[in-house]
Amino acid sequence: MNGMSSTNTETPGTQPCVRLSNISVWFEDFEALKDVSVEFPLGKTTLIMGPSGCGKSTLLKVAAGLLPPDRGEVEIAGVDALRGRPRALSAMRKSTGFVFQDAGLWQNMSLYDNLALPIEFHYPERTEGVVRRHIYDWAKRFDLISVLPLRPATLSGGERKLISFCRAMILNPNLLFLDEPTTFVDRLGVERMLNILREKKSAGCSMIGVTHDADLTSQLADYIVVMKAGELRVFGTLSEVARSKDPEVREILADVLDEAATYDGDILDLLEPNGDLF
Amino acid sequence: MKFKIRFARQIVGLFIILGFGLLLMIVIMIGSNQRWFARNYEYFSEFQTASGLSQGMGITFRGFQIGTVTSIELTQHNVVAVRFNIFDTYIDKVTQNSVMQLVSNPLGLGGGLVLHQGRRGTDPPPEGTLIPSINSGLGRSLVDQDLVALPEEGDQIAELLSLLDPILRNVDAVTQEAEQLLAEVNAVLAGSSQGPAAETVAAVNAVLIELEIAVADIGKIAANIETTTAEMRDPTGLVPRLLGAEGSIARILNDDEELYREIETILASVQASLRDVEEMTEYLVSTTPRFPVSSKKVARPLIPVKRSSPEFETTRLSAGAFRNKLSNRPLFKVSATRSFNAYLFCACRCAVAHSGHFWCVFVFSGPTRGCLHGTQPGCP
Amino acid sequence: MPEQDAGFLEKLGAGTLRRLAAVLYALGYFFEILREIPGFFLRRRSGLRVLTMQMLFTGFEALPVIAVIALGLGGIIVIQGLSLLPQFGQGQFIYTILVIVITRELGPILAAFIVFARSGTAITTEIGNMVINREIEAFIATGINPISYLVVPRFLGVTLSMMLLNVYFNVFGLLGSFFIAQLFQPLPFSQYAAGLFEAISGADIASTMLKSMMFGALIATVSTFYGFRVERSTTEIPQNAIRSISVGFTLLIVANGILTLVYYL
Repeated sequence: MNGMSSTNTETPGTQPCVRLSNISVWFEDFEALKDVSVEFPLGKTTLIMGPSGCGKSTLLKVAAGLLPPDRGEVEIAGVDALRGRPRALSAMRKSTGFVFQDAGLWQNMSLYDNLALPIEFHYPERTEGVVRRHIYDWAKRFDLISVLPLRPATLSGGERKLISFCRAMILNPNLLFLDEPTTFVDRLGVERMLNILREKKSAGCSMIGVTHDADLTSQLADYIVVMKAGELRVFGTLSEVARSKDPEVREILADVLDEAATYDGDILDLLEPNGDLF
Repeated sequence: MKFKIRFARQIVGLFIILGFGLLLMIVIMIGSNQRWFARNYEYFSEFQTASGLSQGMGITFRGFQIGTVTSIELTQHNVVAVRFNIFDTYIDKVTQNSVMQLVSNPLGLGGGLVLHQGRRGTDPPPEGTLIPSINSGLGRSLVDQDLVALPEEGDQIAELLSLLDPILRNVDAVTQEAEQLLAEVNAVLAGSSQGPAAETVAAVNAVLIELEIAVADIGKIAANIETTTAEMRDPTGLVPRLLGAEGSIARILNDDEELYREIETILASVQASLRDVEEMTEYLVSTTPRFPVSSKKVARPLIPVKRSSPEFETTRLSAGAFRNKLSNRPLFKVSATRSFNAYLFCACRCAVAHSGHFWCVFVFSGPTRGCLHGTQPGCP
Repeated sequence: MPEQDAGFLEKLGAGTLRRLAAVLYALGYFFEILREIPGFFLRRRSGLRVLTMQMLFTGFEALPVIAVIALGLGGIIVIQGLSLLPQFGQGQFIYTILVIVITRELGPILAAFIVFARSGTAITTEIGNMVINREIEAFIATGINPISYLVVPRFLGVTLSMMLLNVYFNVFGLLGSFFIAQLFQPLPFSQYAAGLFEAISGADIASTMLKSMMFGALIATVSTFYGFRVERSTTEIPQNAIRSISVGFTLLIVANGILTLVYYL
C-alpha cells in the first residue's frame, strides 16, 4: 500500500476532516458519550473500535452531524455542523457519504429511486438518462441491476447494505462515514466493497468507520480509536494501537476483532493477514 | 403496480385541471351574473331625506332591478344626493322626464327606489344628469304636466294591511272583553257569582218567588171576590135572599154595620196587597233596567241559538276571509294564527222584549249561542 | 407560604416559557417550510413525485367523501330552507343560506376536517415511521433537507389539494342541492343558477379559497411537525398522531374564526 510508511510519522490532529470537542450525548439518563474530544485527520482512514454499546455508532453519527450532541462542538470539513448556514451545510453534505449499520434505505421508494434521489436533489440539472446510467454503473459493480425496481423490504440484509453503500458513494464523496459496512455482506460483496474503498482511499477520500471486520481494518485503517463505555481510550496510528501495551486496549482489540476469542496470538498478526502492512 | 399509482400524474393532472376549470367557471358565472364586465350608466337624484335610502339599494322598474344605488351624500345645500347606476341592459327604460320615487314598504320588506318612465322623450338622458325625485318641485311639475307614466295604483294592499293590523288587534281585544263580560253575565244570571249584581239578582229571585206567591194569593182573593160579585148579581141567589127583609143582609145591616166594616177591612187588605205588588214591580224595574222583569225566565241561563243576524254574519265572514288573506302575509302570521273564536254579540230587539225598549244580547259562537232569552235563534 | 408561592410562580414561569418556546419553535418550523418552498421549484423533479403522490392521496382519493358530505349538506339546507323560508315569503334566501353555509363557512372547514382526518394522520404516521427507521438520518446524511424534500411537497400538495377539494365541495354542495331541490320543488336550472350566482359574491369566493389555502397550510405544517416529534419508539407514533389531530382541529377552528372575523371587518 502506497503511502503507508508516511502515515506512521503523522500524529493525530494535523489537519482534521472532522473536529469534535467536548462532546457529551445523553440518551435519557444514560450518558452515551462522555466529554469526547477528537480530531479525525483529513485524507486518512480512521476506524473506531470498542465493545458493543460503548458509543462507537453514536460517535460516528455525531461526527457525521446526524446526531446533535447535548454538549460540545462539531466541525465537519470546516463547517460548524450545529450552527452552520444551511447552504454551507448542504454543500458539505453533497461531498459526504454515510453507510448505515441497518442500511437506512427509504422504504417507500424503489432501490433505483433510493439511488436516484440524492443525484436528483443535488444535481437537478442532470437529465434522467445521465442519472440512470450513473446508477446502473454502480449497481453493476455489485450485480444488483435486477433488483433495482424493488423496494428495500424485499431484499436481504446484505443486498440492502450494498445498496446503502452505493447510495453513499453515488455522489462521489470525499468524506465517508462507514457504520459497520460489511456486516451481513457475503465474501464477494465485501471484496468488491474493499476494492472500491481502496480506490477512494487512494483518491484521498477521508474515511471514518466503525467495524469489527479484521480485513477492513488491516487493509484500510490509518488510525484507530479505541473506545470503552463512552470514553476514548486510545487514539493512534494502527501500529501504535496494535502495539499498545495497555492490557485493556489489547483485550478490547482482541474481543472486537475476533468475537469468538479463540485467538491468543499477537494482535498484529491478526491485523496483517497479508503480512504487508508495515 | 396499482392503476392509481401508475397513472398518478394523469389522475392528479385531471384533478387539478378540472378543479381550477370549475373555479374559473364559477368566477365567470358570478361575474356575468353580477355584471362585473358590464357597463353601467351613472345618474343622480336628490331627496329631502336619506331615511329609507341605503347604499347598494336596488333601483326597480316594474319590479325588475335595473340598477343600484352607489352612494348617498348630504350636500352643502342640505339636499341628499343619491348617485346610482343603471345596467346597460335596461338603460333604454330611462327616458327623458323620468322621475324617481322612494317607495317605503311599511312592513320593511320590498319597496325601494322606483323609476317612473317619462312619457314623452325616448332617448336616455346623458350620463350624470339629474333624474328628479317625484316629490321635488321639478318632479311634481313633471307629474302635473302628465309627463310621467305613473303606474296604476297597484300595491296599496301593503299599506292597507298595515292599517288593518292594529284594527284587528283592537277587535281581538274587544271580543275578548266581550267574552269576559258575557261570561260574567252568565255567571251572574246563573247565580253562581258573587258581588252586588249577583246579590241583586238573587234578591230579585227571592222577591219574584214571593211575588208569585202573592200573585197567586191575589188571584185567589180575586176569584173569591168574583164569586161574591156573581152571587150578588144572581136575583134568586144568595144575595137577594140575604138582602131580603128577612134575609141575612137585612139582619147584617141591622146589626149596626158590623158586616160592612168587615168587608171594608178585607177590601183594604186586598188594596194593600195590590200596592205591594206594584211597588215590587217598580223596584225590579229600577234595579235591573236592562232585562225584562215581567217574566221569571229572566233567571234562566242563556239558551243556545243557532243563527245570528245575517248582517253580522256577513261581517264575520268577510273578517274570516280577510284573515285568510292575511295568513299569506308573513308578518301577520302571528296574529292571524291566533284563535278568532271570540264571542261576537249584537244588541237587537228580540221577541220577548215586547215592551219595545228592551234589548237582547245575541251570542253567535263559542259555547253559548243565541239570544239571551233563548226565544229566537237570531236577531229579527 | 412565600416559598410555596415562589414554587408556584417558578412553575408557572417555567411552564409559560416552555410553552412560548414550543410556539416559537413551531413558528420557526413553519417559516423554515416557507423558506424552503422556492427550492422546490428549482429541484422540481425529485419533489414532484412526492407532490403528485400527496395530491393523489390527499386530493383525489378524498373526493368521494367530500362529494357525499357536500351533497348531504346541500340537501339538508335545501330541505330545511324550502320547508321554512317560503312561510315567510323569503324563499330566495335559500341561495344566500347555501352560499353562507357551503361556500363561506362549512365548506372549507369540513373539507379541512376530512383532509386532516385522512391525510394529516397519514403524514404524521409516515414521517414518524421514517424517523424510527432512521430514514430521516439518511436524508440528512445524503444532504437532502428533510423539510425541503419531505415537508415542502406535502405542504404544497395538501394546500393545493385542500383548495381544489374546496372547489369540488362547493360544486357538489351547490349542484347537489339543486338536484335535491328537484324532489321537492322542481325549478329550472337556469333559475336556480341565476339565484345562486346572484347570492354568491367575489368576496365569498376569495374568502373560501383563502380559508382553504390557510387550512391546507395548517394541516400540512401541524401533521409534519408532529411526525418529526417522534424520536425513538414506535409507540410515539400514534401518540403524536392523536396530538396532531387535537392540536390541528383546535387550530383549524381558531383560524376559521379569525378568517371569518376578517371577512366581516
